Amino acid sequence: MLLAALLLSVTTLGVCADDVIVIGMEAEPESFDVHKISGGAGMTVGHLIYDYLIHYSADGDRIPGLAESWEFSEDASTLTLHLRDGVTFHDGTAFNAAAVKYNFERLMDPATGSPRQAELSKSVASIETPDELTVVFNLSTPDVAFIGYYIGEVTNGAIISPTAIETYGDSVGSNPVGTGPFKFVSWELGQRVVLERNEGYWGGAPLPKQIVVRPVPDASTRLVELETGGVHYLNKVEPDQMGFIAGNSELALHSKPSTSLYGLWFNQNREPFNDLNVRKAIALAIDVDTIVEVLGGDAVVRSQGAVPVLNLGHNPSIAEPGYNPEEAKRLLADSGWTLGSDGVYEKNGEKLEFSILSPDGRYVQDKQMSEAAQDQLNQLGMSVSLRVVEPGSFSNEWISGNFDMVFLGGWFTDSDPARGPMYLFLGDTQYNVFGFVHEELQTAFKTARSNGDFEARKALAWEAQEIINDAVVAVWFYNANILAASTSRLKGYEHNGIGFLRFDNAYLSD
Amino acid sequence: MLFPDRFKEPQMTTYILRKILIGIPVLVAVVTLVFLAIRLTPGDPVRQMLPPDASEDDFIQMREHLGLDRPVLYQYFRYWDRILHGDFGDSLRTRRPVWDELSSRIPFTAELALVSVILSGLIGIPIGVFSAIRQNTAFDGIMRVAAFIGVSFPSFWLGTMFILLFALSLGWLPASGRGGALWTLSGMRSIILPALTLAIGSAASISRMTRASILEVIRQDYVTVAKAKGLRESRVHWKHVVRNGLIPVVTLLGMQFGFLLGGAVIAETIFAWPGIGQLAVNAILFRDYPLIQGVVFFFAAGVVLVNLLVDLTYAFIDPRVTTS
Amino acid sequence: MATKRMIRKLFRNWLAAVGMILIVGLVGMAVLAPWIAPHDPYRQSLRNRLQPPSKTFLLGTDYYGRDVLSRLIYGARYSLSVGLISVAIGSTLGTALGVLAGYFGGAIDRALVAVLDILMAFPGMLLALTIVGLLGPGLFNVMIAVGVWSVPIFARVVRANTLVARNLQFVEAARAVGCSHTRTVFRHILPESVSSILVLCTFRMSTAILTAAGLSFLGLGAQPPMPEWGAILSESRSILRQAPGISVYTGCLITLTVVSFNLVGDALRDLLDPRMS
Repeated sequence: MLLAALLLSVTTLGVCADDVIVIGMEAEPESFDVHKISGGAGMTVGHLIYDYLIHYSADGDRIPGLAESWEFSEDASTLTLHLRDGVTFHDGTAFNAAAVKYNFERLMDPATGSPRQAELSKSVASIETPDELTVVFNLSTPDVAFIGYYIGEVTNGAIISPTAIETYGDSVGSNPVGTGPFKFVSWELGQRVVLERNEGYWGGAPLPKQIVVRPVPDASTRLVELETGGVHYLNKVEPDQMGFIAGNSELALHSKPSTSLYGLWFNQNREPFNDLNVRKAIALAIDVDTIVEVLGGDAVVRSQGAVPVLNLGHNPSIAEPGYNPEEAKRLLADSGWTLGSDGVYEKNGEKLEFSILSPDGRYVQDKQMSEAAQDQLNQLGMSVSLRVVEPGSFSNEWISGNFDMVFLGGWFTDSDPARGPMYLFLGDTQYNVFGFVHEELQTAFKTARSNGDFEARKALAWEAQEIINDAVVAVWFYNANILAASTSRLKGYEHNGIGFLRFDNAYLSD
Repeated sequence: MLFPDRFKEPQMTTYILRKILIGIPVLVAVVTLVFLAIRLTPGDPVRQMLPPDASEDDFIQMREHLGLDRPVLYQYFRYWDRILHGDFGDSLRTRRPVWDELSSRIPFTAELALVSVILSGLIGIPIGVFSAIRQNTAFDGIMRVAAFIGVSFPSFWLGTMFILLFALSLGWLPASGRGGALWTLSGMRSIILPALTLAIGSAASISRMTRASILEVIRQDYVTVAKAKGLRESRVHWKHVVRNGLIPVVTLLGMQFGFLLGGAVIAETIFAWPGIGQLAVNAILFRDYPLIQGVVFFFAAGVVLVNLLVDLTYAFIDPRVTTS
Repeated sequence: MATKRMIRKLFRNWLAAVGMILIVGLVGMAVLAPWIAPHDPYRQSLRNRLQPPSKTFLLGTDYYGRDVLSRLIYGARYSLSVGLISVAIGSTLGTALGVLAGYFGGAIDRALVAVLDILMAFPGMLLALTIVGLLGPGLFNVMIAVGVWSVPIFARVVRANTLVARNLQFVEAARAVGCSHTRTVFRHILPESVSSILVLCTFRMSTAILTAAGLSFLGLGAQPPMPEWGAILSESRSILRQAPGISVYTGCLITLTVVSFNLVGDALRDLLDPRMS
């Protein structure tokens, strides 16, 4: 008995001691000023340094962060948060309601240049701090989704130490101070970021003594680094590498589904996509099942509707037209298209010719799946070309409506039926560049967001999915899984479907 | 020694001044060209910077904040005004000062380029010299073939092969990253593969150039004269042949520096070398205007500087050039 | 001595011959692609991806199940065209500028030299990268970028030759007799540069092909599904473990092409202009 206890304490001691975990990332953090950046390595690593008011569990449920509990008022116009007591920032400053208010006022200040500043300022009428541990957000318009947009873990709403902001001003991005499980130590630009254990973390001191983040932009090199022990963990895995990693006993593959959605969208403002028959024909001509299975493999989950499979509003019986080239040809004939002598369909002297816009590496296998789809459409008798653009241009190209078809998607942590890609792309926003106008759908969207009743929101979501699929707004491909790889020596690592780095209980066994 | 004397001559000073004065407008022109070109071609960095669900107001706000909504000419003059105050602006992506981004990485690329140049010189020059002296022997033939092939490799392919061989299969060297300062063991180990990848193509060029140049000199009359005077053959070679044969090689080394800076772009991506090449690629892909301008500025300045040094070395070896 | 000289000539000629044969072979491959290639280079077969070499697919299949051999054969068309067109752009523009500068001298010369210095201030890859970054990805823009990058080198060489030629006796004679500028340039000055231009063209071909491949590698060159060699090489990297052969074949092919152009370039230089270093 005593011996067992002794052994247990010795092993635990040995485990907690000196582990330095090295993470290989595909890009270097741009900055740790989470108020100013949007996504990227800075935000991912930022999760180790900062906490948010509300966190997400590994399965995507909301759990307490720096706020122990919270509630919306009846009409969803006030959000009250009850803060955790006894928390301090890495520099000793006390965490309290004033600190939260300070952070959000910084977010709303135009001088900060935060990406969501305009919207946030419009949403929040005022912030009150009735006492040290209570914060009240008074919203200008009722909004159930407020948490997901501004407060939850993937947003800009990280809580930075007010003292640090006062001291460093704009360079707080290189000198981050938060309340998180790890403290910032140093940053050699281009080479490594070093973080060390926060002994006084409110969630309990994490096991690793240090975390080092190394940027390794090249995918092949990254894998070699993992194999040779240069890094212990990769936060991005190419689908083609999955088989190799899974088959190597010294490496471990981590995969979890996420609430994301990707597919090929039509621009119905352009001919011939305003014709339902043509859209259906294109959908029928693409063997999406095979493409997703072969090129995506275990990195993705096949999805047939506009709502990700994991979203609580997903309609399990939703379906797409499927793969049926003969039916596709029939539909084209119905609409007056005939096969020309060169093997390309034409109508009134115009050829069925268009392009697919795709980014390269922005989404899982985006370019690859587009290339496969292109070939299949060409086999059927269309003349399709591929337009692959670099990151700096992609967003601009599709938002300005400069495309025929585009491989596009979105990813949202929140699994509430009132949140998700379809609201963003098909709602009354500036992103609805697809030329799809449907009165009923817009009403359903508006009602959902301000409706407090979960079942009602879910029903509206189901209805929306039917409408969208009947109109063949897009050819849905998949929901992406969140992938990571590590050495099999890494234990205690919690993989999650959001892409957060949770190393609190991680250690390297021998 | 001869060094200080030569450089005191007035024509040397004019020569140097002239070279510098030409360099400045070149710099200005280059920067202006890129400044205008970036802004007048399609592609918008602001879209990139905001999250997928940002609103139209968010965009307008951000654009104003970054000063991108002002007329191009205004932006241009403001840019130069700030440069003269030492402010190169902030990177759009990281919001860090461009100067910080550049100054932290330039030394690493310079380090890589320098080691590559030295390596390529160390490999290329002796091979070239011996090839020339042992012209048309088996050694010469083999080396010429090797040089041909060496110049022809796509560097990114070579780099990947090296990683697979030396890091993965053999485990001798690290796969990527910079291990530390050049004089540390870790630093030396990590710079070998990237430097070698860059140096091979360069070394091949240099060996061919050296060979040709030395063959050229061997044919010259004064070598015959020297031989006639009775100097031993080896002394003839080393003193006259090599020294004069190396003049164009110096130019070539200078040119190679520029070429290596460019080749570093790909090598840095493959080997995760924290240099300016990688920064440049990302800046261009993301249309990070201030960063692109900063990179262009420093590349141009760097090359102008290296050219100046080459010209000076030229002048040192052969003062006759100062009177052209 | 005579034997040594003969051996030297033979050796050089032998290498040159090899180079010529290789180039003819590559060009032939490019031109005859539709007849030689066993399969359609664009035809995908997703269920047959990454197959090792077999009787039907001599070099195996690629990422999408396409025949590697056919893609490499067709790839010659794209890679060689990039080289050809960009060198054509560079040599034409460069020669024009060089002749203008060298022939007329004075302010024109100084201005042009300044412009050349500007272009040469860039490391080649970066210049090409910037141009393609501005114009957008695509093989055509790569041709422009690499072409523009080649201009200064041609201009410099031609200018040097023109400066020399301008002072030659028969040129002065021609002007004295009353030849117009145009006639003098085309009949007397340019021919002096022809050999240098030819040699340079061959060498720039190889650099152009390498640079274009590099840009494709970065994703800025040939657009999918074009089977340009650089693009194939880039695509093969993600499946390096499963199908290393593709990377090796393509890399060798690029190297071979570049080697053959360099061999011919060397031979030409020895033949036409032994003084040029």
